[in-house]
Amino acid sequence: MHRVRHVVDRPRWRRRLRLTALCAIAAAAPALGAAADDRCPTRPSLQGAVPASWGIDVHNTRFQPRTQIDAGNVARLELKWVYGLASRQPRSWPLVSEDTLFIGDAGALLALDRESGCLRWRRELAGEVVSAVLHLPIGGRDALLFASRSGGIHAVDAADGSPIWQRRLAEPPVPMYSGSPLIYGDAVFVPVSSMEIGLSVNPLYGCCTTSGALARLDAATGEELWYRPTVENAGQVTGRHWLLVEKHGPSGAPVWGAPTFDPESGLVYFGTGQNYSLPASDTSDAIFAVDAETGTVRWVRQFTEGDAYNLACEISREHPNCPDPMGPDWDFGAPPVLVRHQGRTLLLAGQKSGDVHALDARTGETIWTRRIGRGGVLGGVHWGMAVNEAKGLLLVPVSDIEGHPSDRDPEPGLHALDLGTGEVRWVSQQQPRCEDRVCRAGVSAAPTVTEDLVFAAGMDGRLQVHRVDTGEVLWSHDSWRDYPTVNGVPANGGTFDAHGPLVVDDLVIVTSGYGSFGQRPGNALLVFQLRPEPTP
Amino acid sequence: MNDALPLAGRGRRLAATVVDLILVPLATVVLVMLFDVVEDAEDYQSSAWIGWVLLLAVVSYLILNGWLLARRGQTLGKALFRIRIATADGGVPPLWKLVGIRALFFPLLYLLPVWPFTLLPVADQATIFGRGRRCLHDFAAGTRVVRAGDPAQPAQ
Repeated sequence: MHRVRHVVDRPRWRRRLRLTALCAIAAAAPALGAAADDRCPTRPSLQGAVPASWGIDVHNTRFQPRTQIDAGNVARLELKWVYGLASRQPRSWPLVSEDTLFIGDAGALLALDRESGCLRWRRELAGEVVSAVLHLPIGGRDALLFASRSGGIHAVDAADGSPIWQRRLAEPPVPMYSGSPLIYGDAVFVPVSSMEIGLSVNPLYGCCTTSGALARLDAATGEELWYRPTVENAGQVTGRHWLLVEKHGPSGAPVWGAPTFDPESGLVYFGTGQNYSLPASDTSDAIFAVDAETGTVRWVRQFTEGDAYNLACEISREHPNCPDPMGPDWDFGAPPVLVRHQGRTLLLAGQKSGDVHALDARTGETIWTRRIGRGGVLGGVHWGMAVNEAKGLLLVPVSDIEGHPSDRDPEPGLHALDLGTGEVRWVSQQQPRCEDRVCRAGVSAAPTVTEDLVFAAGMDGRLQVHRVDTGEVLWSHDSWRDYPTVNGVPANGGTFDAHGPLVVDDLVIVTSGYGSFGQRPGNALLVFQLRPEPTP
Repeated sequence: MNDALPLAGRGRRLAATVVDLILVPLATVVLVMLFDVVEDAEDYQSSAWIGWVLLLAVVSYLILNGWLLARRGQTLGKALFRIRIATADGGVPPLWKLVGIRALFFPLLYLLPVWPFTLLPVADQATIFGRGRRCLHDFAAGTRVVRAGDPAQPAQ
């Protein structure tokens, strides 16, 4: 017995119309670049969006006053939802509004519902998002601004992720956008490093010709207003190595971290990394102060002379592109922090050597220096520090993984220094937990501080909340495990690294997993929330 | 099929391949240096340098092996280990087949790191354990590898 299928009797024009409509939708989907979850309201709000910068404020203090989490209730912090990212080494820092969490994920920008984690929209991009996601108004629209590794600086509409402008800087031939931009008024300050750090592993590459830089863009259009290289006369021919390839120098002094701005003096501060090739310049491993309007250098303070290093040295010190003598790679990767303390304006700078320096922000003169770690290629001080001005404390994470030979013992953990003197107030030293995990105990990611707490995420996968006065651990979460996720993508945690935790209102948001340098990779975006207080 | 031709041993074939895998990249490095395609930062502004390096690898292969392949069906490695590529009747295959199918097409299989294409190189090699000792690229090019200098080899 045959069942009659009436569908085949539909008029041909109706089938064609439906086919045409389906084709039109299929063709439009890539153009829209967005694939939203049907359950999710798609238009996000930017109301109450934080943070304003990578450092939460333009001084890069990483101090978050807007939170209800304190020492009295932190024990009620619990996992709210987990999102499985595509990236196995996520390094984007989120922006959180009243209803949405914006974050980069590999070659895409996501807008997730703050309450449920469902996907409001997804925008594909050229290049991996590597910075904090920031916000600003552009032409009456709420816009998001961020850096992608090779794509440069992007400004997109917060409503749907559609592009407003994108800018790759013209000057360096192989730029690497690694640090977060800083927005102040109509200015966007962009740190620039260079891919030559990695290209140097090719022995046929004529290392190295490029310089790090800071650029100022117009926030509305992305137009480049000034460009300040960190090495003058970079890339002169200095000879040939045994493969007959030309060698060049000086070079490098990349700007890895977010800049810091002082609206009162109009100065922008930033740190530089090591030179990539010899001769070394007097601007590597240094702190710069430049005029925000013109890019003119006000002062430069170098802390390690003659430091030339690149990734060729990780293959062999005999590699033709490894500088001889090889330097210790003691960058300033952590953004400097500006604070007012006892009538002075201090600029605090943490170095991969394990040194912390307090400078007079007007002159660059050293007020105090304190070495609190052995130092190494991932720090010492790696990604950033935090300041609680009311308590007079500088919170410094120390990584101290195995690195170049040193006469000091490692001191991995979280250190609290006195702002005025640099004296150590307390240390929360981490004990390595080597069973079934990468045996690294230090803290590489930047911490976040509140009025009475410090949130620090360790390389061993533990997120810890310390009492800011004493370092006592009040709450912790071990992320070295698998998680069920709201989007159904399998996720595991691993090493905490890079930007560290963001605290806002009753939430703590952090990505777990980072495999760039032998750490444990992972793809878990973790959102914690205070559990409601039990009613009596 | 000329079954009178003695097949080359698998060990000799492997050894000849190893020699070629050393010589061709070495020659490529020399050409890359001479033509200066990866020496400057500007070379990396696009992915064109990858194409240049691949092209120079092909040129290196032809410089080292072109004449031998065309005349005797041999690469330097095969000549060293006294084996050669032959058609079914024992003759020298046309150069375009040796280069266009046997030498170029099948190595490209190794550049597809996506499942299940990752099995293609294994499949290519696995059939050498058959009775005719022919890899998949031998079947595709209509060739087999035999001992050189054998009386059945046609006069050049």
